[in-house]
Amino acid sequence: MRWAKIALGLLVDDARLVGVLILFLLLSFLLHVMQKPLWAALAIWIGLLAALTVSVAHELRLKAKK
Amino acid sequence: MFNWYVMGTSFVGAFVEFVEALTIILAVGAVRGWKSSLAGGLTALILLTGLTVLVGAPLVNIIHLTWVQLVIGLFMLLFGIRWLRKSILRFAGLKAMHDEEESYRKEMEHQRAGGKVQAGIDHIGFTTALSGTFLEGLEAVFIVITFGLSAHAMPSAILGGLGATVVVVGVGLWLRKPFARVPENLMKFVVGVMLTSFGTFWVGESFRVAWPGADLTLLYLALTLAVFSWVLVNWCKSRLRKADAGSEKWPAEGVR
Repeated sequence: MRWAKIALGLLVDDARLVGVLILFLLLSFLLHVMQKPLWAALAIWIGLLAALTVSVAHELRLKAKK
Repeated sequence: MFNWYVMGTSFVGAFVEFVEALTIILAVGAVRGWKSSLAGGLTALILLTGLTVLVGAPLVNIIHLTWVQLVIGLFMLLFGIRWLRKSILRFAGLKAMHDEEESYRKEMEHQRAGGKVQAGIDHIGFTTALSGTFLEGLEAVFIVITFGLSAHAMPSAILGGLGATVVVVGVGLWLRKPFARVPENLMKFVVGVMLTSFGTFWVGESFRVAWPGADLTLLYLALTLAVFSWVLVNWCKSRLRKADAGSEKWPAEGVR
């Protein structure tokens, strides 16, 4: 259990970041199944930027409240 | 032939992690004794080397499989974007910069609180050095294996990692103090951008997406991430300055 926590810690330290990323990856997969490979690529690309924005904006809000 | 790009990135990624491990070893050595500290550190290095060989070698033979590309790509992407996010927060002033000297002081206090030092190999010192080096080194091993696999250049990646180990150990033993002047956040930012770009590319490949300008994909992914990160950092700094000046009211939900 402890090692599973350590392994998870290597990959996830912000649920928002990972959540948004996974959402866009699922969208990309859906677009791939619909045979729209270019849109699938764009979904991944936009997902990266969206995930970073959501995560950083949240930290900014928390800092502002302090 | 060596892949200098992969070797360089593995070197930087491993270097940053082993600098943190060195801080732990130095603090433990100063308080609990060098025998315990170095024994713990060396044991961790042996375990990490074994892990690299046991995990890296078989993966090289199956990386062509789609599901392996997806798993490796996803791991690289999640790990890389985690480093990228942290370095953005640090550059933006939303998180304190990592201070090796402060970490060294704190670890020394923690070791002093551990009670009497045992003769020979001190259990607390050995365990701290072993676990600290192993955990920091795990991230280095991750970087080496994933870069080596994704670029089909495992020997170059391993050489980069080994090079970083030799440099950190050599300079650490010579200086006998933490590396306080390493531009750690900048290095983590660069490695974060590279890992995220490579991971994104491999996830996309496993989905059979059509990257625009195929051969230039990694380049524009990395450039986009770097430029966007710069925009985010500056945006945050500007918002924080306005908040400090008291010229802007923060809404309860959402950011304008």
